[in-house]
Amino acid sequence: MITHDLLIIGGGLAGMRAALEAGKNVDVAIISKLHPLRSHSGAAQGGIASVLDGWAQKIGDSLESHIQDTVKGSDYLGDQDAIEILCNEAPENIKILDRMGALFSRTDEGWISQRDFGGHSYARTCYASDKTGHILLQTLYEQMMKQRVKVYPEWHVVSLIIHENKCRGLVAYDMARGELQVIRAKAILFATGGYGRAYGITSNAHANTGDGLALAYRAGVPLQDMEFVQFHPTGLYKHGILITEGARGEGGYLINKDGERFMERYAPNKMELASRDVVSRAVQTEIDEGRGIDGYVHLDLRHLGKELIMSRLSQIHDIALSFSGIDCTKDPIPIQPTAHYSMGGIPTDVDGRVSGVNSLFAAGECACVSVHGANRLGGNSMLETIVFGSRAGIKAAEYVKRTALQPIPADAVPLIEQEIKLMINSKGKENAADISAELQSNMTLKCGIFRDIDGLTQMQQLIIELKERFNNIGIKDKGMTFNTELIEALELKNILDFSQIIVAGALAREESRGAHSRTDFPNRDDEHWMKHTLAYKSEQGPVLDYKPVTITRYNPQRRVY
Amino acid sequence: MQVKFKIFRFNPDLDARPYHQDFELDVANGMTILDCLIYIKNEQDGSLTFRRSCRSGICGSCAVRVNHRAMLACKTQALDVVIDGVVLVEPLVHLRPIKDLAVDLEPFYQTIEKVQPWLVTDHTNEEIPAISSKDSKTLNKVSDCIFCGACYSDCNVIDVDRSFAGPSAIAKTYRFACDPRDILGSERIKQLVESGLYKCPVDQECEIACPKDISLRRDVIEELRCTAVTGNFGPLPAHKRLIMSVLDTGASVPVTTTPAVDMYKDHEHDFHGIKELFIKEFEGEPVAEVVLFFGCIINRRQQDTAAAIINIFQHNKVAVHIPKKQVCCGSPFMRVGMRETMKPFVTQNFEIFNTYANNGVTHILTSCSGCNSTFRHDYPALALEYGLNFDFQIYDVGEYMTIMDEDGTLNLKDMKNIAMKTMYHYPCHIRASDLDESIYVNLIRKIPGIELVQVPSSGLCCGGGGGVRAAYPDISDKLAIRRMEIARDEGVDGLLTNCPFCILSFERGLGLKKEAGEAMDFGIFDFYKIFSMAFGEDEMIKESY
Repeated sequence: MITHDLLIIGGGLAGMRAALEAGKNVDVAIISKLHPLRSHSGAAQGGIASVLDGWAQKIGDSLESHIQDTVKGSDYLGDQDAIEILCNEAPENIKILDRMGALFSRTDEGWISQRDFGGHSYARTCYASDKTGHILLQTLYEQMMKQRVKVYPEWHVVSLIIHENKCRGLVAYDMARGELQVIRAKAILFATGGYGRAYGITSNAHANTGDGLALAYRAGVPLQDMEFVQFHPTGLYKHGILITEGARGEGGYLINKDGERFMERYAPNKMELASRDVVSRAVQTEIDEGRGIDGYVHLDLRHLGKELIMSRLSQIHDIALSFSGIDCTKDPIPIQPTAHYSMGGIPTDVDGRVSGVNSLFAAGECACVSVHGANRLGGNSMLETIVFGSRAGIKAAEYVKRTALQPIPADAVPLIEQEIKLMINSKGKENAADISAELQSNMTLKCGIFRDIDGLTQMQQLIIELKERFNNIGIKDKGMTFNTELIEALELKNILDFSQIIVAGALAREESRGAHSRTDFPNRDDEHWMKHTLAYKSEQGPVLDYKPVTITRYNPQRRVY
Repeated sequence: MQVKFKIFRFNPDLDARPYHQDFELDVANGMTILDCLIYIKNEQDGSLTFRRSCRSGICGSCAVRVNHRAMLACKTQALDVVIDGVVLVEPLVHLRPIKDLAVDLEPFYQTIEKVQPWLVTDHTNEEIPAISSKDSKTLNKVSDCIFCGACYSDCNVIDVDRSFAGPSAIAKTYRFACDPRDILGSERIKQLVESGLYKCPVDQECEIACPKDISLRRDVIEELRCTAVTGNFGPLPAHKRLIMSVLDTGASVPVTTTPAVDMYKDHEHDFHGIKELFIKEFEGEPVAEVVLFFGCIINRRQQDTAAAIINIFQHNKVAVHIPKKQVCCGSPFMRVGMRETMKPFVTQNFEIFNTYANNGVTHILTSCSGCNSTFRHDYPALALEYGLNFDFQIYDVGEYMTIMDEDGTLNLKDMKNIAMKTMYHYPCHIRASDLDESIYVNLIRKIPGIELVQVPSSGLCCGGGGGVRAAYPDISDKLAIRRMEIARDEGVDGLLTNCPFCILSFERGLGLKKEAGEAMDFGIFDFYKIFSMAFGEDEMIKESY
């Protein structure tokens, strides 16, 4: 039987960062349904925020300011102890990345260049052109090859093996060989990314189906703050593909059908660079109130000039051209808000330990530490993967060093094998793709940027119906080799599970905070709702509970940009 | 639009061998190939298997072959690739199909792992080192590679030699070899020369496949070859012999029979200090006056091609100046990384071209595609470097004919019928000059009697470029023969092309097949000679020749 000390599910930035740290001391492996180089971290464009010595002093920036901005950006739902760690450990992590070989863009003097980002008071986002995630993903994978970390690529994890409240391993589907395999481990670290595929218009990859969250949830771990889903203001119209915030950081304008820079009315000081939730609501309001152009507004980069666009926003130029046929040096780009980032996830402490079940760890977008609270600032997500990926990797390694390998119950594989056989052989008439499409389009409509009791209640009902229909799906592909139809069905099951939690949390939270905007409760309500949501699995669906926000030094204030 | 998707299917659990299955669907404007595959999977056949994730051209999962060329399904607009109502979708080649469009990429990943693809430093210092903005930009472009495998699939050399590093691994090497923080630097280049840096015929099939538009030929391979030369790891001995000969004789091939510029003695005279041939054998005013740069091969090995080119222009009332002192354009130097050695040649050609330009003849025409791409792409930068004027325009002969046609000055009346079924071979150097294949295809289609069969495909390399014929004749020959076989399988009489190197390679390939007792019933047709025939041979030039 395959055995490792530590098994990391997911090969994106957080997973690889954790593997590299843990791999120094223990036997670690990454298991991922994608080859690590295909992970969605690679699509992150804008940058990674960090106060850097030298430049910071020049512009008056400080760690304190980064912390304050992040707390404010989170709309006071972020845990301040975690945020302090995030910002304080950022500079050292940038150095580590540079030493690994990451190619950050440079100033004329040769130093790491830093750009403006929404919600940040100073230009502190390090970047590699507009493909920072791609560069960091490459860099970490290079280090993985150097350190010879074992990877199981295209192995889809189907269930955890938990016995006596301890995780002892997992069962995975090795796609290329068409087999179910058990892997034993002393601990498991989730780094499975976000859950944006719950939405119809999303910047997320097809792979972002929140599998790790669903696995943990079914194993008895609660999920935290799932109702907080960030909508990025500038998704390419109809596609949802991300147009980086860097485009506005470099000076791009948002323009409505009247040619107005409408952010003037929403955030007169920060304009296009206000926090993402603010800009997304502004864009959606313009569209909803008839000042859009056929359901979108324009992102205008033309005044930046061809040279700047081609050197600093070349990928944006390529995306607009390839997918919309727009040459952004000549025409404005049609954009609409797009589901982008999952603030919620598996609750962990600042060392990546998951509460509830022993021997589980989590890091990155699938985790909820919580550093982003109700709204994440641009530049802070890659930072989280690096800082907390590393911390979780170190702690998980320490844990497995002092823990013995546990036996695996004999029925681990037969049970799941049975379940999968049932699914493949089902005579059901329902099409998984139809269920997906119906769920996703309704989530965008009823549980998107703006929410209210009617929409959410309808959505709650719809999910129950869709879950019923899911029990009756049919799979045409009866073979076990590379059965992507089976995987899509398993993913849909996950999406249905956590969509239900998103809606439940959103319905219960009768206030507006960060990315969660209730039109029937338009104000933030610190007295009743400055607390984290926890959703537990039960036969009747998610059961909600709450826990307090950790406050160190910053008391809630009105959030204006 | 109703489109038939012809898709490669193979399920190892059920099928003894692969087959193609047709799916019909209505493709709307804006749909990508990936959108179409997803639609088919969702609505028609859930078992259709392919990889996909980001659907925005960054994860590299969905590389497939569409109409015989590798590309990302998500970045390809479906309506752009429909041929006669059909789109052919197949897995990448050179890799084992696992199921339908999903292939085993492991051998490809191994090519990357072999080049020690990580930064090797000795700095333990705390501070972040400065990197010049220029270095950062250069490395940035090459770092775009997403390892989708498209280039590996369409690489011609991989097809005949699996030990070749392949484009992606070479790009990855470049990324570290040129990183000022890396201490392996020259050691990487040395290893790369051993694993085949000089095996690439610079045919750029990889660039066509690359979804990130990385300039693999100029920015990666040729740059690395320059670095190899600086580090004394290159070029290879065979290249050195060739370069010595160029330095000796001023041309890429030595004189064996009278060069074309030494024929037509009646036409010799002096043009503002330049010894040249001036040929105007037609009545009346010329439509245009141009300078002809034959290039070494045509001048010294293919004199009848030179005569054909002169005929083409006489027929169309273009007066031609042929400088007798034209020397090697420098392409052999550029291709093997010896840019520094070519200065005297470049200077001499510039002197000639500028003299013409200063005296009112500004159109310089090349009949060799290699010279054309060197003049067009390399000379502007060299002019800046050497402080030379560049006041003339470079044209390829076929390109010039097309311009004349558009101006209505190309005389297409009473063209002779030439009955043949052929395929145009589009030379890589012509492509490198940004001259589209359609320019030549459209010209050829004007000749009555010629039936032209064009197939969308990779594998269309003669094997003659980039110094490969000198250093790795075996690879070169295999490529030439394979190219001819692709054409032969389409039932054509032979290949028609306008590059002297391609013609030499193909003729050599035919010779080898004959020696091996497998003679191919296949012809190699010279674009210029065919046009000269179609226009009617000019007796004056023939006699003189």
